[in-house]
Amino acid sequence: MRPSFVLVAMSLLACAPSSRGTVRLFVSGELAAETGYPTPGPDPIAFVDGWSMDFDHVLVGVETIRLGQGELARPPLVADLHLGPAELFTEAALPSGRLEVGYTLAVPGPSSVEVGVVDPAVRARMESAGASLLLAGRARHPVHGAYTFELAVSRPIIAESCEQADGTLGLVVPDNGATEAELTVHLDHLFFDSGTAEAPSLRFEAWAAAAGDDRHVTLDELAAQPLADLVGIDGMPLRDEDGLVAYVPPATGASITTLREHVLALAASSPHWMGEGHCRYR
Amino acid sequence: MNARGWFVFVFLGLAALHGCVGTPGRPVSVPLTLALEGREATTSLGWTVRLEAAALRCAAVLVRDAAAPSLARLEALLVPRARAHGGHGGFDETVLAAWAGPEVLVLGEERRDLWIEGRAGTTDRLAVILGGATSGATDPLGDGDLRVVGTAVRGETSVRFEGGIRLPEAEPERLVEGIPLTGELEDGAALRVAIDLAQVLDAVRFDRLAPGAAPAPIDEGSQAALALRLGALAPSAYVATWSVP
Repeated sequence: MRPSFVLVAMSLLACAPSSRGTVRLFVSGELAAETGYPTPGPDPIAFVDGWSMDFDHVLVGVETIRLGQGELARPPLVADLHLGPAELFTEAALPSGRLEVGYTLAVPGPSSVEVGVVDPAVRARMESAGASLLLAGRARHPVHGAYTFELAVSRPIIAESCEQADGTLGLVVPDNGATEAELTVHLDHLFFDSGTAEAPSLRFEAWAAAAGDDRHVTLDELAAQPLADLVGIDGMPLRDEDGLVAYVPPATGASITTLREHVLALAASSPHWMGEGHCRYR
Repeated sequence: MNARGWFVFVFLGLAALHGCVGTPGRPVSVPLTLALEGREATTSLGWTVRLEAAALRCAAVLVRDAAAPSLARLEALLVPRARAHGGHGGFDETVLAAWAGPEVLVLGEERRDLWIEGRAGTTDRLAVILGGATSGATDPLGDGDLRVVGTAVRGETSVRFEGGIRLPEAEPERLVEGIPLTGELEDGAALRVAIDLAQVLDAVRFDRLAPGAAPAPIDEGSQAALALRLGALAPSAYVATWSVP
């Protein structure tokens, strides 16, 4: 056989999958979506300013999922992650081998299929707000008492080229086998005080201070909190034991001057892959 | 294998690499001008600010690649990368070309003796990294990264101020991402990046600086210091212009 024919065959084999496998796909808000903050266990995720939080609903709209070269031909989905991880679907006959992974969170539409139980009134509010993610619940503080919140993340969230926690790309689909995978939404990002620090803190007082007399805070009310001049519940500059509290937004290229814009920018990095894996975010 | 066989071997090998990996651009080197501007401005809080002096330390300018080449994806597949959890800004993006300093920029002066080096290609945005290593005892900014001296006036109130900030050491916390810049990076082009101090100072509450002090200091941990930090990290304070051949 001529060497050129061998090389042609090897080149094709190198780029083209040869067999198929199955992926069972879930979406999760991790334990925090179910039990709130602080999370249970020996290494809890907790607010540094003394607040605790629990959720009534964590609705997420999954518009598209890409496994490999193209989007899966699936209808958009909506699930309440407060009820636990939701099994989105099982996709058979995917090319085996390593596949790129991406997904888009977006506002559910009329064609969105509910996975598990979804409160119709909360879904309606999510759609009305144009939200890809909606968190509703309450926060409590030993001194400041209880506040309720409903955070409708009114932007699509696009995650591309997702990596696993070890930095390897996408997902390995076993040859003639099956595997499980998870779109993981990290809710704690929404409460980070920094989008650039390696170890940001979760804070809530600036949120509570933006609430009106009804002690209920929404995303739009966070627009009244300029990052360069945040106030606490007492109406004075927001401080902790180290001095003035600094919120530093992520370097996304957008002009981010308020707490509302900060939270929306942080939301972009909330989608993860298989737990702790990161993606490219848009 | 004869000569024709070797030719086919090399050609197909390169073709396979091209198909799976992508083709990097040719090396280019273009001049870079950095400027610190905005001696006078009126802020959104109503202060008319006149700067007598200002300086900013700039560590790097990164020209981002408009299209993430497949080579980067292949690298991600083969070489697992550690990444900080919180910082998702720009260090996983592909850099088309870069200038690396640091240099101290002085208000009203342009630095014209700098070069962006990298590979040809299409860019859609720029990133700047502020701060960086100091030059020791003779450093005009000392151990700080931004210093401003001037006067702010609003109504009957006049505040003379002097001070600055030191940015965190971690690069992601000194990164300004997404500065608009579109075009082709190619030989003969030139890049100018101007930093507008009016934007950097925009959210400073001059009324909170120590009254009676002349000049009022800008202390670390103060509202003014926080506003300067956020202002310096805001892409709206940067204007990048591209002159093409």
